[in-house]
Amino acid sequence: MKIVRAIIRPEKEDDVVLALEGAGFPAMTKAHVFGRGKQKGLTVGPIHYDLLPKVLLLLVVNDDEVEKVMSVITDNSKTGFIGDGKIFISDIERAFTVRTGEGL
Amino acid sequence: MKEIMAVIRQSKVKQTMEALADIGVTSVTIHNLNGRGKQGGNIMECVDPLMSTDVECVSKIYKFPTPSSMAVYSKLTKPVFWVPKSLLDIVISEVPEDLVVEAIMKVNRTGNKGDGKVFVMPIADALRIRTGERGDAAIV
Repeated sequence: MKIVRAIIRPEKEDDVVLALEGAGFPAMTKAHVFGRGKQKGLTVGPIHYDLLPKVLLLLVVNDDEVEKVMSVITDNSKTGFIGDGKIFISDIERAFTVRTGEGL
Repeated sequence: MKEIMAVIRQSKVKQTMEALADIGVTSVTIHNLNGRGKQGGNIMECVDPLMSTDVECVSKIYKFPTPSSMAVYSKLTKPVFWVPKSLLDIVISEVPEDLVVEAIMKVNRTGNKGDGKVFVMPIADALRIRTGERGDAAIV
């Protein structure tokens, strides 16, 4: 099992979530976070924004579904401009459903 | 070293913290965030009493029913896409992971949907900023 952490634009949140749901991944966790990237924020004229609002989506999926989830997220959140976000994948050793106590 | 991520009900955070303290886990990071599970959120019975809240029963009729797909067909239903949840982040080295997982599950199990999930994942390294200790010593 893998955990997919996707940092995406807040305005693309609905697109991505509905697309993931349509692809069969309805379960996820969402957090509103602030972050910055390689460009150290955003400068508009004299005003510098150091931290920009983003949405962090956490999904736990099977190993063979990771590529599909990644392609769904990129297809729906891509604008081609700086600030589209990142996707990180890491391992999950074990997972449990609290209601039943069973592993997933 | 293991990281345990538990997505639980917000109302159970205090009880869970007490149960964790009993087994010697006192360092916990709590995030308040929104989540949704296999059902894709909640349908509030009080808003639409005719809509069945048992999604398993509805899924026999529709192909892939979730609150958002139901919202397309039914103007009455007010689905809740995102349910407020708490994410507990625990990094352990000495306490056995089974003990922590059992403690979390015991407190949070109500038998209803939305009890949450517990994930166990490996941690590559840890560093205590105050002293510069690395590895297990940073967590104990």
